[in-house]
Amino acid sequence: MSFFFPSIYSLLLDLLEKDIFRFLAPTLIFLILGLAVYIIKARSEAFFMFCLLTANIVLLKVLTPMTFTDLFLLIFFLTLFYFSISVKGFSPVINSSSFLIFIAFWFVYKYFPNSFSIKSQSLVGFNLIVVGLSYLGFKLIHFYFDFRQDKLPPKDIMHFLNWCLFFPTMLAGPMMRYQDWRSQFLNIGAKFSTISYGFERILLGLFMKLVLANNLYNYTLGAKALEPEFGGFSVGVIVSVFIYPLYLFFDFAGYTHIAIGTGLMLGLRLPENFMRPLFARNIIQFWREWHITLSELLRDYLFLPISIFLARNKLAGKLIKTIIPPLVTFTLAGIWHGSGLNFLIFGILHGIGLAFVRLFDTQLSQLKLPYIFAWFLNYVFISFTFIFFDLKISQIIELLS
Amino acid sequence: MTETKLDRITAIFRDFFNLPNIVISTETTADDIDAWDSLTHVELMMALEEEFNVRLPTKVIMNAKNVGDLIEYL
Repeated sequence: MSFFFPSIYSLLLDLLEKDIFRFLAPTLIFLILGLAVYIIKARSEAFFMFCLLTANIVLLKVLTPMTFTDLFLLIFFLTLFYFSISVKGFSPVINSSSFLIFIAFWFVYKYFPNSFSIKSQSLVGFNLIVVGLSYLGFKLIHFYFDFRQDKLPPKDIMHFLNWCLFFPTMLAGPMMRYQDWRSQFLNIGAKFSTISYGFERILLGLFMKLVLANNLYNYTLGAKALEPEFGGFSVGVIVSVFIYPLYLFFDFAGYTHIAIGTGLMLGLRLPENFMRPLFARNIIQFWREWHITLSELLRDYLFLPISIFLARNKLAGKLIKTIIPPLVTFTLAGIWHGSGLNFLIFGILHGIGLAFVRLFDTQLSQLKLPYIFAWFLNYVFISFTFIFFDLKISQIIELLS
Repeated sequence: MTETKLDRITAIFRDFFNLPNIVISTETTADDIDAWDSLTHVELMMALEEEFNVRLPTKVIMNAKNVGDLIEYL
């Protein structure tokens, strides 16, 4: 008998290497969980939350480079965060200072991962999870501010942990707000209609990601930069620049379809994250349709507070009131994506783009540009600013040399 | 004096968005007016504050879902 086990094990490992399995393993686990709720008609929320947390932890362990120590530390961190900001009786000073300490900790952890570990490896694994940490940081900011404004439903540590670590959305969104999460759990459980719709979304997502995005990737500058004879200007470079937004859209929107489909296995409706951004006629419309849940959080926690502050400030002139809010918001959003200088430049360029369209909106609408012309100008702007998303500064210099 | 709050709001909206024929009701939301987005929102609120000579609470500016939510503060 023992003869069989190694081969089964290696077969499983083999499957794990395959992309499809990586995407479908969560689906399968959440499908089983959703069906279990449906069949048992279990209304014991506590038990269900426990199972869900176990599923999330197992998936994070198996499908990301995180070790059990990382996971333990992460859960410990989140629990401490939860109690330090939400326990009544602590003065607001303690609540807000512990929030700031946690955000500072998270910031150092994300941008200087090496300073935390003895080896050159960070405690929480890299790549995927570095992006995941960005999302987590934003979730914590949202949770803290809404909690302070009494906008949150009854809190519960298990809900909080599951919401933070919900596997389908942990690594790349969509970012669901805590209020939505709680209200949906009132009638959780799989139905045939949500499951079949979920599979539709997953199939569409797999097609976008594995067929479209994976093939388009080969034509992007990011892929070409890995080849030895990279650098120098050619028509191929321009083609690559124009292909990159397409690649990024299919990769990201595809991933979102899979995440939304996986949520539907549980009967959970995650927020939509993309409309048709690549058809936008200006940069404002683009950000309304691209990565919508991030744009909305940026709007509520950065853009509007800054705008209101400046609008009430007698010293700020009209130009400042129009330029500063998008510029600050997008600069911070740029840094949020990663620690490289390229992300900073990307953010600043998009902030300037938004301010420009807003500043000259009357003149622009008087121009009555035909849609195709406006679309083209916007697509050129997006493509060329996304170079900073695709390549590191050193690679861009190499390209120009 | 017979001018209702909604008439005054409508006048502000028409002027602000340069849409002379637009009809505003308490149900009007940002989705109904193309140019009413987060970039113009705060400026619009400031225009309303000036007309009614009030100061809208920050919470209301951030969370108002439609014109009806604003009326009671004006």
